[in-house]
Amino acid sequence: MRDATDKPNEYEARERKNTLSWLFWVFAYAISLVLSSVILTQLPAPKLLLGISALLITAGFGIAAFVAFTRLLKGLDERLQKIWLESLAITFGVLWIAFGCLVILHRADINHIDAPEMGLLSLLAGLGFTVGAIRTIR
Amino acid sequence: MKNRLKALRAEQNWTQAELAAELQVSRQTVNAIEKGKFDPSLPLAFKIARLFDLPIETIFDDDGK
Repeated sequence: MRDATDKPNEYEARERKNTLSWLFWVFAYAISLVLSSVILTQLPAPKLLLGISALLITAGFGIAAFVAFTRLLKGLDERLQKIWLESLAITFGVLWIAFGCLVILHRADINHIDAPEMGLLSLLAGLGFTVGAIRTIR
Repeated sequence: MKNRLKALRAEQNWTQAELAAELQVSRQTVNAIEKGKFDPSLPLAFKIARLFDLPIETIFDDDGK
């Protein structure tokens, strides 16, 4: 049996680093998305070259955020992986159902999908994830 | 699944954080295992057994299931 140790918890340091990396790329993606939308709506036509550039830059940040998130998930310990995966499954289910409902409302001309509806989806995603996490932790 | 992790850790005068550092998991995971809220995977159970130099079945008890 080993003696008590002052061994630093490399796992926690790695988790912190991966979380910060993910947050950085998500922030960069959000900024890129907002700036691209604002610039593209302010500029006169033709916007093809600028539009493609904005798309490539934003997609690049999105891919970086996705890779960072995958790395974060893989680096979590098994209990946290379980919590995250079950929470993500619930989030996915909530979004799936909510989006389906919005599409039906849109097709029936009851309510059209626009910015508030996208905001509602984000809110539902956050709510779904929180409920999933609490449910798994308990 | 019941386990003796808390007692074994106490025998060594280790904190949950120290045990977590040895196992390379979060402190919360050690706490969840001790309270029986989370059953570790086989690799983690083996790691715990090796750390305390004990057979797995003397640390974890599946309640005769």
